Amino acid sequence: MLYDMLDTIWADPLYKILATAILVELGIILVTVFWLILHTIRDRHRRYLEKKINNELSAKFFAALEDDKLIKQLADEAIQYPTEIIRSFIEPFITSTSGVYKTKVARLYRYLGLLEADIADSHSNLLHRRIKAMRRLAVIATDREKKVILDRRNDRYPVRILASNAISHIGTAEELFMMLQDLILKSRLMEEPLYAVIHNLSIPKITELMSYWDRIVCPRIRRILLIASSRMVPEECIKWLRAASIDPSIEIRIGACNAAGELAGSNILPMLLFLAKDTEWQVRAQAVRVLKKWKEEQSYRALETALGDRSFWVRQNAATALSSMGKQGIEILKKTAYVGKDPFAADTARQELQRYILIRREGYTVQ
Amino acid sequence: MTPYIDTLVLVYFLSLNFVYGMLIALSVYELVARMASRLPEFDNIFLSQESSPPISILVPAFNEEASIVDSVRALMQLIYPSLSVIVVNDGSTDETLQRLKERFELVPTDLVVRRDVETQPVKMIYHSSVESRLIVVDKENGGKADALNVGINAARSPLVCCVDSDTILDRKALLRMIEPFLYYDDQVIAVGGTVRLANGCKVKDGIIEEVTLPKSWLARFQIVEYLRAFLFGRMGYNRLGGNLIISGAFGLFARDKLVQAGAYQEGSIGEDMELVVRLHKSLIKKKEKYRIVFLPDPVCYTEAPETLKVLGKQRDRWHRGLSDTMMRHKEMLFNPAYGKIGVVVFPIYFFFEFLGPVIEFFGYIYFLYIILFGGVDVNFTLLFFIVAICGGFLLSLQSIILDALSFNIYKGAKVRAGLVLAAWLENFGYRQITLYYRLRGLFKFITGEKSWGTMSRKGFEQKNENEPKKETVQEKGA
Repeated sequence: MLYDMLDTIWADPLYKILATAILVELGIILVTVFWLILHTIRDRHRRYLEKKINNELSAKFFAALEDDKLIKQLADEAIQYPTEIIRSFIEPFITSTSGVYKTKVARLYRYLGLLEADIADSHSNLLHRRIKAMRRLAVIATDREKKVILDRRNDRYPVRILASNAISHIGTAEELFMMLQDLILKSRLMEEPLYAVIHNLSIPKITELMSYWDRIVCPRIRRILLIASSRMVPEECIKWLRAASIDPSIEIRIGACNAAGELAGSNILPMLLFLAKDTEWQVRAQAVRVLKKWKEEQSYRALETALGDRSFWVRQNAATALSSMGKQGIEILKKTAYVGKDPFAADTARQELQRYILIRREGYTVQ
Repeated sequence: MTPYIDTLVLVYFLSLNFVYGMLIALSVYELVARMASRLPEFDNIFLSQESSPPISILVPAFNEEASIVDSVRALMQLIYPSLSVIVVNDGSTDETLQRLKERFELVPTDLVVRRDVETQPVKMIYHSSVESRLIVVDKENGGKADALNVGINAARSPLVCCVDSDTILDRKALLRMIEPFLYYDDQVIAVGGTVRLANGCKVKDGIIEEVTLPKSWLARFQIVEYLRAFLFGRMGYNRLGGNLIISGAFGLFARDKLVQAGAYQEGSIGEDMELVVRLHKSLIKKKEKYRIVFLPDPVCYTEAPETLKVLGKQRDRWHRGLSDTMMRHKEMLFNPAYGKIGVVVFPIYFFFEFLGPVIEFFGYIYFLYIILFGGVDVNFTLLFFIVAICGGFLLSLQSIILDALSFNIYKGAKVRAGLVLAAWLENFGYRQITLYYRLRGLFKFITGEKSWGTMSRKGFEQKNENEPKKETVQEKGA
């Protein structure tokens, strides 16, 4: 009877399609379940190996960090484990070590052949492989890998920014300039990784990088560099500051405000007062924010005017600046809050006065 | 007429499976890409930088006196360098505000709140005397959407994170969620993360310590459902042009884009989905380049209902929310002006999610009709039924595989066997029950019912079985 039924099903084209579909589905289900069983066994074995490598090699690893001769010996022992297990063992140390220890971990990484694998992957046609490889190279690469990393200068954004991070450690300022020259940061949030790149630079490197400042295409990158240089190499920043304050790009004028705030010389004040009257509120907001460093009559006057600005953020920043300028600033806030005619300015001043009282309370935690 | 009905059913079924097959393939691609672009090794650098983009976490709270203090404390423990928490008390009638005042020593402040979005009146704004990152806004009751809008108005950061106060967030959730904003070379405007179920998990001090399967089969079926929905559904949509939903339980948005789009819509039933659809709509209309990203990272855990009554209320509301959004934006259906969203994603949601229950119900009725009255093609119906059951099971198996290949949350032979069994058994009873709830939701939507109802939750940490377990909170959709 079953055979008769199967014959009937197989004779009809529509039934045949459905029966075939069932067979295919059952086949895939079997394969899937079998794969899940294998994966579960592999998972278990992996956990066992991870435990084993930790037990057997942890002590030797720390000893090798102190004694160079032991690195080769450790590598020979570790090589017996599957690559993914060695990676999971060594990777936490790559990010948590620095200086001479990091160099030693890098050497071990090289002995184990992991670096070569990363270099090969950095040229893969698959983006995810390139990203993965560059994530590792960004923290482990040395001079020897520089060329491979520089080859990524025209790659997609995530690879390129990771490569720039590596170059900031191991490359020259000129090489970093090559990486950044035509890189475009499309949003403010995309700037964050670049801060990390700049953060790694030594004084001589950023000094040299600043000589290429006007040749960098992206205004956001120029702004970040200008601000970083004001902290690290003020004399290089000053060279570009005037030009930056009248640049057509709003980003660069914002950079000029922030850089000026870091420099804080008396000759800077007229430029900031000029920027506090900029046509763009973003520039005015930054200019008034940094004016707090100049406790001079002109600054107080500019800030009092800014309390009545049509932009919320300019008013807000002006109030915060005044509250941090001491008695005279507080007096201006009180006057604006209680006898001022502009309700917006009064609101802003009152709120700032409350905050001022609050943060002076005992036990108050400020982030 | 029977051959026509057979063909129609077959065509619908084949299209559905084609779409799901495509979503699986795209999900694998997306998962591999995401696993590569997670950057936990840069967390330390990121945390030490003063330039990190500030994030305001918005927490709407309505009658949550039992959990609000713990929720806020848990949010304060999130690992992120520049964080503020804005709790919006949406006219609670219990002690929610009082608990916050006592624990965080709130003092009234005249914080200037921009009225970028129209909302119900704000009664008072409080600043904490002991925690500089906490602001509490007390307002007239206006619903969850209105509370979130007040939070958006009060936020002063470029990014706002909307959360439900009764979810457990991974402590590094924000570090993972911010990555697309920083490293994707598109204009990312919103990021959603994967919601997992905390039922059966061991939770201590707001942190998931061990993931195991719950004893309740109802919860197990939902775990399989969540895996399907989040791992292959939403991941696949990333490739197709973007998701239409970011769970209300946890989503990170660019504040300016929210304001431009009009923020949350008051009166919408599924405000989280409606917002995302409107964001797509407004940005496509303006011809702006943007991307809405969904991440597979398990960033937050929520509690699934373990009784049919509560499950019914939840599914009913979800389907009303979906129906509401579909009908509000029906002009997007097959509209090439909305690009891939209008031509591909919206129609998939419309035909397979919104109308899916109706067609599925019709299928069951047809099946019963054949059995009861005969005279129709029994062979076809039986074969088709087996294909459908095996197909559904296969989809669930694929999502269990995706989990094993990516974040491997459900480890171990026992847990995986339990999931596979749940994936098989859900076809016999559970699916039919949820189908009824979805149809009920659709019916209520047609008849105009908009209430949210209430939902009982057991709570995440239960140390003593004799202690009273249940507390009633306003329902939060996933």
